[in-house]
Amino acid sequence: MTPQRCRDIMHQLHLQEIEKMRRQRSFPMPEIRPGDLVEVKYELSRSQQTFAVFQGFCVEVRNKFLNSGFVLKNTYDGVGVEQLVPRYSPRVLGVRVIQALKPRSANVDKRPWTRNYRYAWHYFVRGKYSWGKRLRWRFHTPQRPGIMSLEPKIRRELAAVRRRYQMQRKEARLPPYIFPGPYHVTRRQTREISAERYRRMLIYAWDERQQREAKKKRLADKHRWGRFRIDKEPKTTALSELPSYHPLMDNLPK
Amino acid sequence: MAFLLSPLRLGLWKQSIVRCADNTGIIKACIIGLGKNKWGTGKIGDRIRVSVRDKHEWYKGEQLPKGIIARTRKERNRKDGSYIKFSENSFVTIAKNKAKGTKIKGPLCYEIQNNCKSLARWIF
Repeated sequence: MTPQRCRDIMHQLHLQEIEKMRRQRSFPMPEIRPGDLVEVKYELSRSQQTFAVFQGFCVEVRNKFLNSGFVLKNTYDGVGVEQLVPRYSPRVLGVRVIQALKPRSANVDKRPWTRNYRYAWHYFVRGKYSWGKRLRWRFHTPQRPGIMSLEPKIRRELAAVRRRYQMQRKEARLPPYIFPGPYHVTRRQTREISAERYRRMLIYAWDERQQREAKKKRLADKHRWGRFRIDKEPKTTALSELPSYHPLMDNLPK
Repeated sequence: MAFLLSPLRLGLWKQSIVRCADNTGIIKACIIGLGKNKWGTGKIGDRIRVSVRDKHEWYKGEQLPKGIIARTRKERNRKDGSYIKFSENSFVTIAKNKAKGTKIKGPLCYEIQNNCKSLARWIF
């Protein structure tokens, strides 16, 4: 019994188990790709006969023989839920792809646009010319064998959107918008957030000063001898002069 | 150092801030005790003692209620090889092993063996 022999035996057992599970289940397992909207029905308890139906977007596919599965993610009441569903599990009662990212039609011509062999060349494989064996994902390589996750791509796209938004603000000559984030007790605020807070403090202080001066002026006018016209309201404040798109406009002080 | 970086420490501990998932009026609380926890960290379904850190004005309850962990960011492994994880850490207030509130916001997990499970809208 060498370790190689042991590994082969375990592999054979896994394959047998996969076959068994495939024969046991009563529904056809669809092909699930990252980005699909998938509905899964699975049993919670066998003794109480309770079931749950979970619907979510597939963010990760793990192809690891018996340990294959896919990760579904969704939000309920603003709480994100992420669940791994094993592909060969007797507790899964039904899997249905509700909405696929790409239409899956049977006869799509898989051949590339060009017949030039230059695009079929790739390194580090035994047959150097082949059309089929290339990695299909462009933006990342799998971190662990068999696992293809959508999360790095989503994270990168979100960062790109935020960067584009900042650039648009800069083009419109607005101050850079800084989301201070949820208040955190232990972590210190960054320098940008402190700067933003300081800027707001200055604006509020300036406005306060203007209001006090106006009030003092009004009082003085009231008590001046022989003057009866009083203009009660100051004409403008800093806040009324703010343009509507200013970041301070959505939380004005009372 | 290896122990500090190990995944053993990634659950909920004392001093963890958890959100309250029911309508008792507590917003956030701090775990000050983990019950029945011989080994490891606080997982979904564990009893905890919390200290109220943030509450609504109308909350007239005790300052140190008992609770049960409802959702964690750390994934909870199930016996069939699947796992479930949520995007926040939250708990449900209990007294005499009964849920104190009348409603529970958000989904719950099947592992909670408490009657607060019947108040939830979604159980996964």
